[in-house]
Amino acid sequence: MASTDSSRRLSIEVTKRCNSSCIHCFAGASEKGSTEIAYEVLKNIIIDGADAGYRHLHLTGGEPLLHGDIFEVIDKALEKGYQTILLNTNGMLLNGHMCQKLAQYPELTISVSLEGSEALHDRFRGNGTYQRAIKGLETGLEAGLEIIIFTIVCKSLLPDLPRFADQLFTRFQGIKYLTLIRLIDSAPINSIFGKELLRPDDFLNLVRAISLLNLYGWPTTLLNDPLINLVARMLAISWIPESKELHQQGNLMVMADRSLSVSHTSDAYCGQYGSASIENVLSYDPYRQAVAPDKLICPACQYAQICHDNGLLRPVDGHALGLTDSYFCKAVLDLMAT
Amino acid sequence: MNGNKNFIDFIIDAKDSADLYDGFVKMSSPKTLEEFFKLKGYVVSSDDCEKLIRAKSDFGIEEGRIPPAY
Repeated sequence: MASTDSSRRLSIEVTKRCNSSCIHCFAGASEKGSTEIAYEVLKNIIIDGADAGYRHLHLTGGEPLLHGDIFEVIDKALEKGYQTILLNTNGMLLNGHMCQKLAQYPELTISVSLEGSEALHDRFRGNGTYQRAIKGLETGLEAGLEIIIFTIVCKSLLPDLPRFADQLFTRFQGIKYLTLIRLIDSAPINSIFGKELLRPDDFLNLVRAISLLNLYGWPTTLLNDPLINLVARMLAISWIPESKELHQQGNLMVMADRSLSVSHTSDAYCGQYGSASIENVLSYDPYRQAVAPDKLICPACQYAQICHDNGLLRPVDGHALGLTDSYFCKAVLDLMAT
Repeated sequence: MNGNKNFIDFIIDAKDSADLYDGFVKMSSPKTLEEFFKLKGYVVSSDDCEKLIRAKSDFGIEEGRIPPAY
């Protein structure tokens, strides 16, 4: 039976191929990536998802615009009744022809990744990528695409974040909003970018910056990080939009190798697509455990109730930061209590 | 001397300063907010102060609600 939760999203990693080799990529994509889902399979996933009640589709990669059948995928999704489609791109393939084609779909939102200054962006994504992304962004806006910006927040960006946001919204007035993503402590990032991870005090600074940017009229949010709403509530401010848990009931991701999980960063393996319908996968134990509130760590924490009340259902790992108890969320809340 | 700082400069400073941030939060009228900025060495126009106070209200600070996602 199809779910009635209208906000849940089906994500498909259509390809691992990318025209960039970002050193912070949590999807493990690269220019050498070859794993890709063929259109016939993508079509089945889309139909299966629609039958399971999904109305919001997320196309990601790799670089999804490298997939040779990406427009057929979009056409099929709209034919099957998906109401919105979010497509992640690094922006470097947004030339005039591509943008004209994408602009035919009012249901489509394009996220373009920008990592702050040109120097910082190119440090993360490779020399010359900033200028190519900016060119793509300009072309996309000229074509009338609905564009949001995805930006990884790291130590180096934080001091300049307000100015980056101000320049972004001033220069590119068609941008819908800025979505920040906290740099996470995956293994490759830890070895290369350990010093770039935000510490608990940085997180509080980030909350203040985001709240003031929103008040100023520069719409800014933090992706899938309800800790920010909890902190904002404790600070008695409410100028930060709701940020829901990524691993929430209903959200499902089909990876390029057809494995099923909750997200790029989830270690939950929920089988291979094709062995069961999407609707059935949502009732599998591995999936249910992946999206269920934590029962091991949180119940013993003094902040359990307030976290639960604010949609933070699982501990936020802070192991790579060397925190005493390894939980970033608790360290942030402890810091606020002092 | 920071007399030429604007509101973006204020965000840069206030994100690292709970005192500065809290001072801003407490201001409830455009006039007191403008005076607050002037006292702290920031140049923020009357229009922007009005906009900021209005935005505080629009975001529901008094109700303590979380605005919906964008």
